Amino acid sequence: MAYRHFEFIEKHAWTLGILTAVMVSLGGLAELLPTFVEAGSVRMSANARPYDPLRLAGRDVYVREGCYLCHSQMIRALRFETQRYGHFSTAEESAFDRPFQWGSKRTGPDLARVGGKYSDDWQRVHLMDPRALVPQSNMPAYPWLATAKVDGADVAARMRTLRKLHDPYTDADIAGAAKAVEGKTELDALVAYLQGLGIANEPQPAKTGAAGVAPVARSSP
Amino acid sequence: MSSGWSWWVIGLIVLNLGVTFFLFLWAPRAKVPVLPDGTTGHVWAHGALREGMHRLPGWWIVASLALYFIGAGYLVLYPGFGKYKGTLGWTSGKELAAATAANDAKLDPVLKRLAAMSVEAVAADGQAQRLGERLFVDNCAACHGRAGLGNLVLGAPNLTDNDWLYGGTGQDITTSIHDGRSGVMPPWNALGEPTVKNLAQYVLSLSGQPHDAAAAAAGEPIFKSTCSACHGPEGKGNAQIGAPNLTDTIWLYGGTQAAIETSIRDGRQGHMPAWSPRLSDDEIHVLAGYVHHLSLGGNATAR
Repeated sequence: MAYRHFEFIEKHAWTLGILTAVMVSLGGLAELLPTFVEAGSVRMSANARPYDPLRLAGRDVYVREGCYLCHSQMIRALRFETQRYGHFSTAEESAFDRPFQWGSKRTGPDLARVGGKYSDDWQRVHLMDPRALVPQSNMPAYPWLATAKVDGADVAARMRTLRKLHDPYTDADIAGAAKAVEGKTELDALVAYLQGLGIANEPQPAKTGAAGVAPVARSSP
Repeated sequence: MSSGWSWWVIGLIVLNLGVTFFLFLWAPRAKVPVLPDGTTGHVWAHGALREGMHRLPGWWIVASLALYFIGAGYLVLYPGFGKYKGTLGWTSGKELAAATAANDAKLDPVLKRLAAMSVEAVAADGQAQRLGERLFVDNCAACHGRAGLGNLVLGAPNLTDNDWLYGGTGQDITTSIHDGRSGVMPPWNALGEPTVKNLAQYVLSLSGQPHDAAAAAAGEPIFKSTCSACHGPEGKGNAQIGAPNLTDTIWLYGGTQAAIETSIRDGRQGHMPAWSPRLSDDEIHVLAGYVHHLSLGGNATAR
């Protein structure tokens, strides 16, 4: 290479742009591509179940309302996180989340293991009017959830779509979806989803897997 | 990581570092033709901007070279070069375990010291109060409020008044936190709205609030036959099942006529979650001490 080669690159914007893109992409190709391709090898535990209809509806409300903008569902492997929120999150816990609800933006607390931490009533009142319970809260209120009904046919259609993506729903699951959400509001669905986080609907880490993985959140003092 | 991906990562690292290192070595040596005016002849804005020709500053060259050494050193010490694990054997799991162990080493002696004490004594311990406050703010304040004053909307009891639904001994408080509590007042709307209103008047009369004496008298027999099963014939409550005392001025869901009618008509199922195993027994012990401390107006003294 001589100076004229550099001069050529420098003076031709497309060449410069493409070569820059190649160099910048190397990091992503090394760090991201292998885990993308190998994602299918994440093994779920035997008792892993996809979201039941009501929680599935709740999950979609969670995504629609943008809860992820302020709440992560990813407890990092750092002492001050595991002490506060419980065992760090594992990949298989998000196997049925499309899209996953990880993230590092925490205006509010992490919710990966919030299920059961508060009562159903607490979640309900808190979603309707956060400041009725936590005066310092800056979370918005979501009063419309209490009046919006969950559409059973819609939930069944979502389950059929997810089955195409290999979520293990049975015909009986899908046939029973409309009945399972009958008369339920979006608030009921979201509360059911939240109360299952880290408990009911997420696969329990395999006992034979990573050492020391406890199935239930436990704060170590 | 399969060895195929390992080689993929290694190849990319070598390519990246190789290309940039080649440029680092070679580019400063490239012969750049310079015009008599000292520029390269590259112009922008119709010649208003011309590209000058200067050598790279020494500090820049040194800093860049240092980065190659740092990068190489990192790849030797830490995992990153494909499957190679690094000479330090670092993993995020080990770092977490070490950080947790270091924290436990500081915290465990304190928890152990407190675990040997009674809840009442823990309440008076300054270190326990600070620990308990952290735990309380993170876990309990959502319902009971930061100051422990409770919440009428949820029926979360005020913890500062030394009035207890399930008993206020150290053991009672520990049990409440450890196992949670569930209120089980059934709805009485089946009795009919007039009866509900009469009962509410009678309940108002129990705590000496203004009430309609005739309606209260009409409600009294219903109370004696029905409500007394849990609240007692005199309405003084029952700590065994967490039935509130109705003769005092402390109200879980509010003591107005409307709130009492709602409580009777729709029932109340206040639920406190169990905190075991979310919190360890030692942490629950400290929390019980803190709650006891709150109930004494925040001025617990050792007994």
